[in-house]
Amino acid sequence: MNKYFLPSFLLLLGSFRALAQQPAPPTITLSGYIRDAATGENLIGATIARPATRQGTATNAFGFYSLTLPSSATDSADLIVSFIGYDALRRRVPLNRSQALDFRPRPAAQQLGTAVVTGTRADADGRIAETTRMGTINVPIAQLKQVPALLGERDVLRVLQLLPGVQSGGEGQTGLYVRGGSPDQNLILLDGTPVYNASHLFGFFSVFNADALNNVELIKGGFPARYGGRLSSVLDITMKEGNTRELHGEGGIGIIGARVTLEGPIGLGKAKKQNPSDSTVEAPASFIVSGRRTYLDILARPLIAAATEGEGVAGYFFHDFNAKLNWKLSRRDRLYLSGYTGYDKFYFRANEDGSTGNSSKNNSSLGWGNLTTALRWNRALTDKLFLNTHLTYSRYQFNIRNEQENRVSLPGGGTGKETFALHYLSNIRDWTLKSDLDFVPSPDHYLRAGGQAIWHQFRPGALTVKDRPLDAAGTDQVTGTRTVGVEMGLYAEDDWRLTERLKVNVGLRLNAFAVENELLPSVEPRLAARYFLTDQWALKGAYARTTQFIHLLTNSGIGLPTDLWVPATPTVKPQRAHQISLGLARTFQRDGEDYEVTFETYYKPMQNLIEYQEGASFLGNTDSDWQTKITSGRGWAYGGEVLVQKKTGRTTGWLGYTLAWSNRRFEELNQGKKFPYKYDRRHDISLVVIHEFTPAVRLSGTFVYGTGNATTLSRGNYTLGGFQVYDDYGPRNSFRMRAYHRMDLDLSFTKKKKWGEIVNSISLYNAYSRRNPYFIYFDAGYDNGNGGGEKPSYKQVSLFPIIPSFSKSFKF
Amino acid sequence: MKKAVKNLLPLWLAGALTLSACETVLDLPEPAHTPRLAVSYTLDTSAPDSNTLRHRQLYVSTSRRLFDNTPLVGRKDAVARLFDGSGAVVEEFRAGRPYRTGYYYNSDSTGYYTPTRGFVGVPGQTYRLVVAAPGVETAESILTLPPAPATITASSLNLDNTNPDFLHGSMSVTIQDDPATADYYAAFARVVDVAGVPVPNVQVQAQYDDDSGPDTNVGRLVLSDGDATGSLSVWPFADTDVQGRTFTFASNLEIRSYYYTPGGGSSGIPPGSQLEITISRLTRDTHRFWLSQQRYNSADGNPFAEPAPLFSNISTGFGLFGGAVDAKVRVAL
Repeated sequence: MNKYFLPSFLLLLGSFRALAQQPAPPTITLSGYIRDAATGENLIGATIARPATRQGTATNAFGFYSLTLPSSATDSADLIVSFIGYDALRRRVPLNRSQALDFRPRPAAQQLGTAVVTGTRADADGRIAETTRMGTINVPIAQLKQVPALLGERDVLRVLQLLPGVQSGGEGQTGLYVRGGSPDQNLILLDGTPVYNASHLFGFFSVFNADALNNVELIKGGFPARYGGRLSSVLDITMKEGNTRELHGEGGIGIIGARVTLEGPIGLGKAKKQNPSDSTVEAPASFIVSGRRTYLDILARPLIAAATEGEGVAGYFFHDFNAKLNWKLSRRDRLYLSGYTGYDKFYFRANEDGSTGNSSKNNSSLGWGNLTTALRWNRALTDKLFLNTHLTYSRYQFNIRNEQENRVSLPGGGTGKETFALHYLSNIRDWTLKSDLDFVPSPDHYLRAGGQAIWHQFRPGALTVKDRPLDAAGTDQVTGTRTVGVEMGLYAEDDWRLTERLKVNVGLRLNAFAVENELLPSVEPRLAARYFLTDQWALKGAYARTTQFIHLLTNSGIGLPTDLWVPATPTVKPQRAHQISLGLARTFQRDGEDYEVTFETYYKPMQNLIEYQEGASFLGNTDSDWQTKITSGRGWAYGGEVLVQKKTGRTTGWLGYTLAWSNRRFEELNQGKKFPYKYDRRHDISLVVIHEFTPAVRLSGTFVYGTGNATTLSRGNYTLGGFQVYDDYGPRNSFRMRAYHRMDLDLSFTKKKKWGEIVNSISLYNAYSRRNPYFIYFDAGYDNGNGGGEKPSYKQVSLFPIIPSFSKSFKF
Repeated sequence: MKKAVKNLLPLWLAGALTLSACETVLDLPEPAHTPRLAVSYTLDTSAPDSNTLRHRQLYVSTSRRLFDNTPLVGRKDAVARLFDGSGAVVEEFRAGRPYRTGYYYNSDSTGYYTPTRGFVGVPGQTYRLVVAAPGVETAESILTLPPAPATITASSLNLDNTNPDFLHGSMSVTIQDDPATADYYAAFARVVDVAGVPVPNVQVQAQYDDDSGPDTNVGRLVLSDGDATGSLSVWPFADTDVQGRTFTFASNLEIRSYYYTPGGGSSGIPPGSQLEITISRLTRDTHRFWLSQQRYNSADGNPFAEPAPLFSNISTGFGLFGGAVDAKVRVAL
């Protein structure tokens, strides 16, 4: 198949060139940026349309648009600029010349019935039925903050789990299981930079601080060619750029942590001096910084110190810090520098002084976290051509440290010292250089092309041990290897309106991975199409082939820091998948309110998935031996999703339902027979309701139901002679935990102040205290010899009963 | 490393406990279980007698439901027959005792069976084992013995025998792998007298670089203990990385006499004793069974590992109908 790749890729590129050069009737081009009137933030996916001819386009990730229309010396066009949550802008534009036009829509006024909901980003005319995109969902940050929170922490990933086709792993987990895939198959991008571990505290909170975010988009299927490198989903998160007109801040405190964000213009005074009469003047640069930290460890420290009589300290915290600098070099050029760092840490320190003069010190910690930085430059090369280039760095690292020092009184007098130090780390580092071109030759075409190179460095387990005993020679042990892989990609795609009814997105992506002196190529055709069956109903279909050159070795599947990122190698092949999806979409009005309905079905076969061999785990993985502990297999995921949304009115929300199957087969697992994936979930229901009593009082609630997770439990046991007893586990994952269901509620009161506003929120997590399964263990019981005691039993552990919480947030 | 990481787990788990302070526990109903026969038998190419490796003797028991706390014992009412490829009965078994008993063996020897016809397996031939017992489904399994014994081309033994009760050193055997087939091996060693009869109370043990023993994925042939008590210790090896090549099985080992006379002192290792090294070619199922047994033990008690079920090739039952074709070499001690 590879021999066809280059010619077809060149053909596609050639067609772009032909489009650029084809003779056409005289046209004019309007281009520019669409940004929030108050903050100057890019409005990503805002639409600009000419309703009279149903021509239009949408802004890209940097707020840029380009709209080419037939020219006329005498006519003008009525344009509508719209964006969810914003008042529509109407403007009449002469069609006699091309011009640069920026738009500044205002957020919809705070009044009942203007709430906006989650939804697929619409195309030019604002209808979901219009776009070719399938399985793509945007979550407005404002709405994200209205959904009930766990312990007062608003969470991006937790809201995404409420959408059909997206599941959580279990109680409290923020890991995303998209259409039968595993969490490592999600490409999570923060300002274009991959984030490898998106959770804190074993998955209970995500690393994304909602206050610092501008846009969240999740793609579950029908991937456009510009995305590659993962099998199951793309979560594209964009940070705010910082307010270009005023200094603003927001923050909050909850039960476990606090957060604060500050953003504002740089050089605004100078800009105002240069344009004293312009009330809309913006600063040439802006910044945003945002921080978050939990403080349970600080609160608990006096208690621990008292319990250990001052000899021990233990605790846990996590923190996040985001920063971004946005610099407008010229009307056509912008430069962005952004960064994120987050870290989780368990620590334990003990000092013990013995009565005989002996003493010991122990300092232990477990830590893990991400560090990402991105430098981006974008330039509007012409009014139809937009270039974005970025250089990013991403690192995820897991550390274990254990340092012990003992001082011992020697028989002959004096003191001897012995020390032991262990440091174990596992990490992955990426450097990425990427360039993307957007070309909009006409309203019927939107072309994109680009390329990227990612330099990956994997250290799946490195160990340093320094042992200095008192009565023997010291020893040093250093193990661990680095593996470097270079991932390359080229793509081209066109969003092409063929007729009034038919629109397609056709693309091609070429990937290659260079590792251990071998090149592993992949060719990935992409196709999506929309066909209007009626004026309201659209039939959609999509096909995508995807390849993933990195694997996550995990025992838990819930995103523990011990999970190891490892590369595809000539031995361990890259993961591959196909996804075919078919669906219907409709946008309609009833009683003056907007509704949206989508049905989607999908089929996704996957190859070269890896698992630990039976009985193997991360324990003892200190070098390149991981390849000997794994086995490769296949997977199949298929199902159907329904999403019904009420988008406007005093009460808004959505109902999602997923019917799904996800199975695996590995030659060396389950005797080579097919078995259900651990997170195979037949039924998954989510209901989200947000009701505004007044602009200041809002009640929101969510209800979720999911079939119980599949797990492997012993059903009996037997002996084959001797003393050893073996468990009869039956087929792998043949036991179903009890169904999971839960209701969360949130009541928020907003108080307007002269300087801003305060929001007080009262939340109930698990409002009816359902005892949902977290894990199951076997209790062997005991016999007290008198016929009594405790009988053997299986016990289900449930983690969270009803949890009330209170949080206070502010904004100025 | 394992030890160090395990030492830190309490710290981590203590953190997790912070979260689980509000956990609750519910009792769940007992999973359904259908009792089935559990069978262990390995057919080889030597005449079955009391010298046969313990793990190869036929053993039959019945599985029990998980919440049943009564002791697991074998059953003596099973009817077991071995058929050849033509369907003829070539061996029958009767309830008996384990080939060797002692402190380490299960005091209840019920469940062991001894052959009545002394049948010796023929390399390359197919056999079917059928075991029936009242109240449970009949279990059966089929195998084809490997076509020929392993080709052993050389051997060496280098022992320090300063202490006659404790010899230690190294040994090696060179094996020519068959290029035409996928082969599976296991290696055993024991001390025998000049007549080839195992010397009682003398134990041969492999020595490893550290205390943890060979890893499940050791990637080389290591010494197994076919007479091990309690948890059996057979380390199978696949020829994946040595296909068609000559490879060496080498091991450090200790030979101990552990029987002490009432007046003190050891009975020692009798003069003229020999080290008998057996290289067994195994069926694929036998390899899978022992590999899964090692993984089962490795996963036991590891909260991070998926359960590692024991492989079985017994239809409607548990256990192994294994096959081995042995090649032996003896070296004077």
